[in-house]
Amino acid sequence: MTPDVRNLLRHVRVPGLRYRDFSAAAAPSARRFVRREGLTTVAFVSLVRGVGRTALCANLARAVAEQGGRAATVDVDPRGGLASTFGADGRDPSVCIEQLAAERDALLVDSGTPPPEDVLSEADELLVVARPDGASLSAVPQMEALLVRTRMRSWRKPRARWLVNAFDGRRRADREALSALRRALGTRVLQTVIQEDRALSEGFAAGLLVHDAARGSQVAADLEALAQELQIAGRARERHAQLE
Amino acid sequence: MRSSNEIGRALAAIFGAACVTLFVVTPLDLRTQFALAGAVVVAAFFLARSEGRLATLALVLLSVATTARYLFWRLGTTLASDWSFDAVLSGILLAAELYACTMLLLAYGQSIAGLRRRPLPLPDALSKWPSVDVFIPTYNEPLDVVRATVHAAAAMDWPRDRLKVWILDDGRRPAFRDFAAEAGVGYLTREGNAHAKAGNLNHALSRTHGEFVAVFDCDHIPVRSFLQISMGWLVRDPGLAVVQTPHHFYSRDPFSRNLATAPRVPGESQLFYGVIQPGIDTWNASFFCGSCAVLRRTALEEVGGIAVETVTEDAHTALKMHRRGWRTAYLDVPQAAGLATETLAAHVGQRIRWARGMAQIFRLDNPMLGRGLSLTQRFSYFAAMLHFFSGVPRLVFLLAPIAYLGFGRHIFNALPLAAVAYGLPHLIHSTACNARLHGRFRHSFWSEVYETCLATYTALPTTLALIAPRKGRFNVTAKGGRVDAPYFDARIASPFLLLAVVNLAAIAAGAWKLRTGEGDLDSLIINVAWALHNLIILSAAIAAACERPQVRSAQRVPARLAAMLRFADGTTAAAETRDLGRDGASVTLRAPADVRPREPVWLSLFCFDAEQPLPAEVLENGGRSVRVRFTPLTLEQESHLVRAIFSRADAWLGWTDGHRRDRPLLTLASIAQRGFAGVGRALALSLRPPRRPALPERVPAPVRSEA
Repeated sequence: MTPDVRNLLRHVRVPGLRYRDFSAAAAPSARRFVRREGLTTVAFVSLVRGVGRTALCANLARAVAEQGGRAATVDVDPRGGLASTFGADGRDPSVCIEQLAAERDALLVDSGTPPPEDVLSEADELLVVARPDGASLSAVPQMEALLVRTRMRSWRKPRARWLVNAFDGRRRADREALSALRRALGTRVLQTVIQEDRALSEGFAAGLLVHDAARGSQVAADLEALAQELQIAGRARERHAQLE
Repeated sequence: MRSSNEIGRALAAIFGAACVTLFVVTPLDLRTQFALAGAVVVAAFFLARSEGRLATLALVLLSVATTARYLFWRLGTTLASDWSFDAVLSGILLAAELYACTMLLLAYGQSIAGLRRRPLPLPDALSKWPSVDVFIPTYNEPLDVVRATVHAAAAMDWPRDRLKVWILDDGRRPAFRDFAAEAGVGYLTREGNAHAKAGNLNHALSRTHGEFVAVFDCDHIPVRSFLQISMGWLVRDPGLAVVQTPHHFYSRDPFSRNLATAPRVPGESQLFYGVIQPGIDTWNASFFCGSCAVLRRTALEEVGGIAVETVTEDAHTALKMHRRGWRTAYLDVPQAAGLATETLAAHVGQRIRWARGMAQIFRLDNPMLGRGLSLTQRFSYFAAMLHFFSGVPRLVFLLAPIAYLGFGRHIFNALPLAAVAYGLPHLIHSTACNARLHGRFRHSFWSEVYETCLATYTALPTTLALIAPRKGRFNVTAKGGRVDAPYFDARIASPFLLLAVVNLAAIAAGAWKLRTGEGDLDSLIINVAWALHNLIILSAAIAAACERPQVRSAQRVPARLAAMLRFADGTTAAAETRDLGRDGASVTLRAPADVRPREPVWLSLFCFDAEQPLPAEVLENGGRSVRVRFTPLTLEQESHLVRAIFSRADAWLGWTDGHRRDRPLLTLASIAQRGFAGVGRALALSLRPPRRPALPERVPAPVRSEA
């Protein structure tokens, strides 16, 4: 429900008044996230190269930290963009993961293209990163088929949602691609859309995170909104409260 | 059990009535009457301090009783016994007083038990939602004013297959036809302009088929929730013909702009929509106000469409529906907003039309006569119409002091002190009671200012309409203009100036008499005080004619929306809007940004609509606070902007926020202060060579089509 309608309903105080939203941005309300105890693994996947997966992964970890959560990034991409940009611990992964699981709230996994099968089947949450362009749109059926195949084979059923990255509303093609995605996938497209901003793409190439280089930018706000929507930050706070 | 209860009630009523009668008729000598008046005023003072409905009712009862006692005394002891010039004058004053007292009683009846109706939920199944035609009648208004209304009407949240927007263009302008085609809404014209707006609506009724008809004046922009809020009652109650919502104005009316009272003093229209409509809704007598309402087609067809006999077709239509047993409802949720009249002259013009129309209905279809109405409905309509006859009585009160001070005429055949002992409590009680009942929506004495501005203008048309009700034409209220430079509208203010001079002369004559010892001291004091009061009210009327410039042609609306600025270098800034208008916006950034004036930017507004960046240029950058002005927008962008400004469901909910509490004496002092300051401004503006603006015109927002 959009804020204006929420305010109206609060103002008129009519029990049983259900508002029907016919506006363009209206999406049927998403099912509530099933909360899991402990560590969450969020895997960033895509079939198309260069959609900004790695930069998002690193920046989201920072945004989670900004909101008081603790996230670690794990690079399983053989091309290793994340590790090479920010340096890696280089410890034995299996030991490392166990340690992370104990002290972190979320593991953000940057997978390669195409994503390895175990990432698809083992993550708690799959984020399919897409740009609002033809290449990403045409890869939707292929990705969906891959997800279905994985779900059939694995007994864990990770939930897959789509995240639109590098959106520029000035371009009609971007607006149309976004609405086409929403039409095709409904609530499985995240409400949060990451705006295109040089601070994200070029900053990452230079080893800079958005929250350090451009705190006031819309992308910084979008990343925080993304952390909220994925309930990583909220979950982190809850866990801290339990521990203390 | 029930009968004993009823007997008890009847006994209590008889006892109460007996007490009041005793209070009204008991003769007292002057000294005792003073004591009684003092005691009752003190009682009212304490009652006014206590909260609750019972205290309100007690105040109303006290006020009615005091007024009745005054009238009883006035009619019983102060009438002239023989025919003389003085007797005629005093008869005129008495008639004016009787009018004022009747209006007071009727107003209590109107507002004592306001029905705070809340919206009803619609059926769960969308298939049960009825079809609605939206009529936007226009005649000579600029396209730019109409565009916003059309965009917003088309964006109302209602099943798309059951919502059809129509522009009813009585001006038959090609630009409107093209715009309608481009915006995907219906466009209707007709041969001739018979019966003006009513005829236009009736023609559209004959060409459409929706179960319900929503009517918006072309400058009244609905929010997107309008239909979902207003349709619930109509769907639930098949006997309900009309649901009316308030007319909210997002620009300031001439009084609050020229006297600089907003937002501390409620606007001129708020009494009607805040108190009177909910009040008469209790009596099933709330009426259609021409816009921001939904009507049932079958009810309209039963009464032969919108009434064409009078120039206030809206109230007359509702009256006809009530006569046929239809019900009406008023919903106190502002779900549309429009432009207030731009100048005092335009306001007066509009009210002359209303006054004439109401007088026509009074003559042609008098609510006290004819069939089908309940007693309370008759009185509600009667009050609504009688209100517009205030012109002559108001003039009588404004001129009365001159009779004694200037010409030594005794128009009040009583001892001056007796007049104070009986009259003053009546005035004090009615003021206190009005402040209690209406204070949130109309401050004390402001009604006098409003009436004074109209008195000289409505006195004649209402009288003429009573004599020859079928004469006269419909004049369209001009809106969407703007005042470029301050000027004093001496033409509209000339009657106020004349009356002010008369009262000043009366005061001077009084002072002269005081000095020469001529005349009676008590009478002199009373009449001078009266003239002073008149002078205060008149000065406020004069001040209202000092037109202040309206800063922007397109009004800004305060709104806090999540927003984004995208800069030419490919970076972005998270922002929140402070105010929004069709010409530009002010935003607060999350962190200071390095942009210079005239730099191109794109502003995205994140509300209920899909994102649609709007091209703009920076006007001013104060670090985190940035002002931008839109560069030409495409139709799609313009529609998005209009929806973001005007279509938000909560856009106008705070319409009564920011009002100061009404304290009658302070209010009078502030009217005096603003009035006298305004007279000074009027003098200053008149001494300078007057720069009257050319025809009010609106700067159209340039539009280009997307390449």
